[in-house]
Amino acid sequence: MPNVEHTFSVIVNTTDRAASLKILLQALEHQSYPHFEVIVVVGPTHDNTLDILKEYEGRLRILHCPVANLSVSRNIGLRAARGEIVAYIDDDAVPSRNWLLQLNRIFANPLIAATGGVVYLVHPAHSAVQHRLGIISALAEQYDVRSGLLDKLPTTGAERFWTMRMMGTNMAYRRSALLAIGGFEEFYEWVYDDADVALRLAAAGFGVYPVQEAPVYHVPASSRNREVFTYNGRWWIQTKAAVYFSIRNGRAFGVPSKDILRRIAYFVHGHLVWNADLFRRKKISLSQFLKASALEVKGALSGAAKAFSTPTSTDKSVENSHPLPNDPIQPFLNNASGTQGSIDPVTGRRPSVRLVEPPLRIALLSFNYPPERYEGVGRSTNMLAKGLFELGHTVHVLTHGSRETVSFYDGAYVHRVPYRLDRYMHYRRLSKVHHLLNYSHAVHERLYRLRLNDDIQIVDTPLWLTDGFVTAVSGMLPVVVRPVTAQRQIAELQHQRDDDLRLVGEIEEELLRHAQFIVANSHATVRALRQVYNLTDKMKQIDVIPYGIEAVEESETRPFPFHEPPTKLTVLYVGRLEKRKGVADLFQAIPKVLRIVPHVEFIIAGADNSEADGFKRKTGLSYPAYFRKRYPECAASVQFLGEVSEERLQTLYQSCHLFVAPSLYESFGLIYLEAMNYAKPVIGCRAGGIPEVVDDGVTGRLVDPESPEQLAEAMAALLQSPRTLYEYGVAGRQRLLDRFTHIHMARGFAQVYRRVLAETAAMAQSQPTPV
Amino acid sequence: MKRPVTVADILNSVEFELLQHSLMQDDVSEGIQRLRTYQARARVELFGQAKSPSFEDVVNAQFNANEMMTTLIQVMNERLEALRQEVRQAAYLKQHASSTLDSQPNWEPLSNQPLDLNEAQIYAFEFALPASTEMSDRANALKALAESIQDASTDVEIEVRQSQLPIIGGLLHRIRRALHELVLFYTNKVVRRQAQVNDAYNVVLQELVALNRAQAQEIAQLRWHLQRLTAPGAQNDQASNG
Repeated sequence: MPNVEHTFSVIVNTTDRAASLKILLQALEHQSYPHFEVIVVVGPTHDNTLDILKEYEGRLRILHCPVANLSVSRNIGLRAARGEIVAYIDDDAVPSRNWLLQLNRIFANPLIAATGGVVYLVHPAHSAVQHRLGIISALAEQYDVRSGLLDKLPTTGAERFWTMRMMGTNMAYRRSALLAIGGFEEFYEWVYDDADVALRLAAAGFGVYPVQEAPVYHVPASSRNREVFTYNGRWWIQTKAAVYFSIRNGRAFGVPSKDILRRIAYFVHGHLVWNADLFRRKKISLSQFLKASALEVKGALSGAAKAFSTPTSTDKSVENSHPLPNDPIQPFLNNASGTQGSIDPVTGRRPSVRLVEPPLRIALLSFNYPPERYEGVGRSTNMLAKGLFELGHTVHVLTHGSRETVSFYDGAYVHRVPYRLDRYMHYRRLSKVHHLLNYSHAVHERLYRLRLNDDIQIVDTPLWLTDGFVTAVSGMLPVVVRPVTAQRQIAELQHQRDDDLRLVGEIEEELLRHAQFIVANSHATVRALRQVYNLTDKMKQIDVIPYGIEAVEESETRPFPFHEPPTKLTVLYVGRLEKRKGVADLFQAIPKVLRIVPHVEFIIAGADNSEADGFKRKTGLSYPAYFRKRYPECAASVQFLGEVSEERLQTLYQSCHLFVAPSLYESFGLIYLEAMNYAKPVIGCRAGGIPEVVDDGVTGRLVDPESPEQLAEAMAALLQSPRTLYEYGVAGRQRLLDRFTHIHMARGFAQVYRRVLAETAAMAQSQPTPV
Repeated sequence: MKRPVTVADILNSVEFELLQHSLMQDDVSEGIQRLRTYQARARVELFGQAKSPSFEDVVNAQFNANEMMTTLIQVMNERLEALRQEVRQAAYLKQHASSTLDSQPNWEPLSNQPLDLNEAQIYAFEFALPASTEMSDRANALKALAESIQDASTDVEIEVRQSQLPIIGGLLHRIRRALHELVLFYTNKVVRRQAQVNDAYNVVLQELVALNRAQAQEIAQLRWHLQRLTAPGAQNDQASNG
């Protein structure tokens, strides 16, 4: 296909949705394709839409639509458009960065007159694929989401005219083609306008070809027609449009009258049944039910009546605004567009940082991710995403999910990646390897699309579960690896040796070898990398950036009240109950502490992992059951909470008086920071990265690993000294603010990403061009 | 005896799956070329000098080749199905064309002003037949594939190096030869069956390409016919001709 650069007119039709419109205009600044103008057609608005548009004076054109009718508004935009292609986007959506670039690529095929990409619903609570490769018949039967061209095809011989269609939120046309069929049918004031145009274009012999690329992220906002995510809406307008659509197009395409009638009856009946169901479930009142049913019938009748009479015409004043076809477009982007920071498409929040360089576009990988799963890697990835967003960068997180969705959470687009075990079948007997490879490949395919559509520059993967392994091997994008405690280390600590684990260790090693850069969270991790993986040749490409967390407000901290010490003290342990976390040492220490300081309660929060680490096999008991059996006299002073929610966990950190986690090894120890955040003193072991977080004798105490006596002594000493509990806590909080916030971490990572990108670009330049 | 899986095996598998992925993104003829390259590479890896592949290696390579061919056929089938849809659509329109135009609502004009669509713009959409070179490229690629399949269909021959050891050299050679013959007996059995599968693939691909070509031509004719019908003044022309 020839490389043609079309000019685009992006048309936005808006009424009373100023907040959403503002987000869209800010997001359009990030478009990678520069040859486009923006036309905003404002309906009879009552909010501050015009004030917002004033900020863009000279960069976009503002037109007025006197009526609240989407098709009329779309036609006004169409007539004013100067671009060869008109692209429509809803005012409550934001485009992917390469949206126009991808559409332009598709229009390089001269046979295609209409196209549109995927629409993702990105609301955090209602994420879904809203539209992909939709099809519709002349009787308004439709499938909005299909997995591919062969999915949900109408059966051969079904005598209907079917065509592919786009969704109004994301559709683009050759201006000439759209004008050739007379633009949008103005009877459709809200829905079916997009489907009707697709059908008429196809009937006129123009190519209608929606694609899986060029996504738009949709955050539905309420309008005069519906209150979003509720049952309140003027649904009868839909019925009116559907009836009109079926009669007009059914007749035009030679569908027998009885089929048209049957379809209309089916549609209206469906809406009436839905209303009745809502009433039965007490979602709407009796009067609402009766009113809605009457309106449905009225809508159907008015749709039918209109279908048999002449169509509506446009307003004369709109027609007079018709431009000269060869006027050049007024480009929307300006010099400042390139350094605009990212924006939260749901709340419209934008970090206040002023960027000097263009923001980065980063993909972070993490198999588990909040709010579904809070665990070490997911949590640190979440903090990194949040920090990078605060610095103005665009972040996409790829995590596991049972179905494909995209949501926006904590400053990042979160892509849920499902996977099936249908590849790498010859490793199916090695369960861990089989899962790992299949998931990593699914992630790679998603990254492939993200690179196309959102222009991702760099991938950042944890070593844990090696999500980025396939991408690193493919060389598609530069990959930065965040090593944490590796599977190989854990296998050695827990004396587990089998083929599956051995290979996972080797995959980890390969991922490290293929990585462009390695960012360790502590010097201990670097040492471990040297010992466990023998990565001497990679040492120049390793940097240490400690993890960081978001500091809570000062008012939420609870330093120890040493003037009025409480009568009962609480010691908190957080972590899985397993050997590596030192839980057995804690069990041995507890009776010793209780003998010295009896008014102490131990709270143990975390899932029991006795099966996985082999403890249950040896003792026949879970960790809590073992403790109760072994130390029955202490059972009343120890609470085992199991896995707790994130909210509960924060409350536990806030309310405890001392935090203890005697892990035999932690690559870093995020849990200590969590406690320090609330001004709590902490006790850990001189192992792994813990000494880099806990300053012994300043913010807490460090003891030798696997030394229950030292642990008991340190706990008892601290619990008997209220002033020390206070001082350590306050010092810990200050240490966190000075060194360990998520902003500190994100700043360090952003520097690494820029360095890697510069090196990759330099390498690409130095390589000879293939002849 | 099965040898333990190594990370080199895993890296090979990843590379193979990546190749499959790129096959699905590529044009069909380029995909066929990639498949050919893979076959050639696999052949060198398995039967090159001083190589003694295990039975499992040979079978794995053949399964991979099958996978790639299946992917190719799947891609072609998907495209054909899309074309078939267009043909069905166009046939439907052709059947109802006159009634469609007569009964069409007044879609014309948003206004009385002339639409800014001139003839040149309409004819910018005129359908062109797929370039003949494109077709012949595809045919050539297919022919090359058929040849490569034929090459691969021949039996694997025995290659046993003569042992240089004194006295027991002859005996060693005989034992080696007997063992190799046993392996080859089974390998050739698989290879022959694979040759049959390859032939079947070849026939399917030939049919798909022929069908593809016929449908592309039919679509071109139908499009041309439709554009004539829907172009401004077409109805007048028809009336005057009639």
